[in-house]
Amino acid sequence: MSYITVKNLQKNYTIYEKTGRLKRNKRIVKALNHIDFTVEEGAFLGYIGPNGAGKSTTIKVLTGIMTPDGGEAKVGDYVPYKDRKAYVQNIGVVFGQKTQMWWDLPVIDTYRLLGGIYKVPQKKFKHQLESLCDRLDLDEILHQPVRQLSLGQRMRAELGAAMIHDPKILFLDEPTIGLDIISKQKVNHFLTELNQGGKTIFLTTHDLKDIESLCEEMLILSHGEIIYKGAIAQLKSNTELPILVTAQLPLEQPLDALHHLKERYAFSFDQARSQLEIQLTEKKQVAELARTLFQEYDIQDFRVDEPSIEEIIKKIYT
Amino acid sequence: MRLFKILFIASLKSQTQYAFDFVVNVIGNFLGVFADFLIIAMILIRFQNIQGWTLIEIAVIYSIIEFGFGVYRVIGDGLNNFETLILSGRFDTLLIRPASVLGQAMLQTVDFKKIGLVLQATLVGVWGLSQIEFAHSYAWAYLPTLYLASIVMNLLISILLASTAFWTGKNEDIVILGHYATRTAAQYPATIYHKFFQSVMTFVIPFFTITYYPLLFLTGKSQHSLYLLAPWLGIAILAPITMGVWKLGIKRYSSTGT
Repeated sequence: MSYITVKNLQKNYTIYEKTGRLKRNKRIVKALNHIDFTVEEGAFLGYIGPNGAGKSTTIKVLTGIMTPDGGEAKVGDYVPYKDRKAYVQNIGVVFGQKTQMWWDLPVIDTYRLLGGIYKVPQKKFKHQLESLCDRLDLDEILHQPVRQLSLGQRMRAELGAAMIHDPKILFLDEPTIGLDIISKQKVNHFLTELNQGGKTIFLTTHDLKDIESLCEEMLILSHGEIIYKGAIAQLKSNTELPILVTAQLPLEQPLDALHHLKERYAFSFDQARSQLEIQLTEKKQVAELARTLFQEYDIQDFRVDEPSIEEIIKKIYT
Repeated sequence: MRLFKILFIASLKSQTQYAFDFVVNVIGNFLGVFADFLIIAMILIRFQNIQGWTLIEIAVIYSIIEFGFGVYRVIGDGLNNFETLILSGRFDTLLIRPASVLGQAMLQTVDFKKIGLVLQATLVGVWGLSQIEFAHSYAWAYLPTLYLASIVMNLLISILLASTAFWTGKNEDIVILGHYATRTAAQYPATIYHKFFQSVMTFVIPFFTITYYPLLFLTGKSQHSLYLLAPWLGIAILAPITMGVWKLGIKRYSSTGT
């Protein structure tokens, strides 16, 4: 049984465009166009897609904020938008762009208030607070008002706020937006730990490096439709983008010395720099090519470039 | 009630972070509103009465309406600023918590600075009531009902008007016209207004049901004791409509986003 089940989910927005002084045009935009997917308990899912693909809409439906126009969504035993109050007791949500904390109060006060709202028992609250302080490095900022925190500090505090009631699943809508590398690393490290502790994590982000280092699975959404779902490693091996091998030969290397490479590989040779570029379609060809090159030529520099996740996804988007 | 306590404490703490501003604001509010009452008092002292209503009676009407309005401004400030909650998208964060959305929206901030309003209404009320002569001795037992009804009525009207933001986005002017203007109008007896406006204040924004009608009987200007039921009727009709509109608004929000 899957933890999250989304079946035939639809959501349309009506947009009014001004065409004249009083006239306006009605246009229906399909934000989610019959999407289906499932997520297992304990998964770390990366949910990506270009701006306007429908990512936020999906998160809003799954967190009970929004009711879909058709289809259904189920998380655990709940239909989020129907059993809102009972359902949200078990989820944590972080919106990278909006704060959930009391701006003028110290972080600890927000935690206490949320503890009250979620009815966390005193003992459990204390334990959870200690554990979060430890993992998110919160001790130094716990007694500072939220408005005084830096973006990185605030995001850590924000994650703590979303986890204070120890939910089973965490929804994150671009949590690392605008963070520096160190802060990002701290956040990512925390998320990995949570996931290893058995929490299900649903992450949307534009940062593909985050996705690559954090998630096992990935869902790609484009124009309201799911265009890829599966393991990230799989995506890389499925791509049609070539692997690029670059080799530096001694200067003034005569071109005709390369002639028997020509029989097996499509290559280009930059004579001025004596640089050889060969495009391979499969990873297993790399070793063979390297053997040939090193045996037969005096190779001074050698580089293999696999297509980056950015390039692969850019190709999928278009 | 638990939620109320939690959010009440949060707001109190938030505001005491700026203690000086807090004190200045309470005094400022008190003085500002007191000036309003002085204007009515000046006019009345000159004319002795408005269409049969004495200054003392009008002071009582004024204190009833302002007391409820003041309490609403203290505990319902979140409703007063409801449009910002919708426009900034922060309304989303209320929906992801296991608590009443209306309660959370209302108690976004508890505006203790508006205690000045309540204090001022209380003072005017004490002064008016210490001199008023009621036609019926049981009027005193009935009075708490009116003050309570005023709080409920003010809250209901503010919820009803705040809900319009679900459709219009910005609704500041709707609130100013629908609540602030009518509340000021309700500080005077209904007879000074045109028939049409009297109907509006009785059936649409029913402020007269908590001031004018019951006092008409209590002060002996009318013999219809049924007027004492007016506040109950007003609330009984307005409450389900208000809650219906609020629920409809939430439904709309959840189907359109913003």
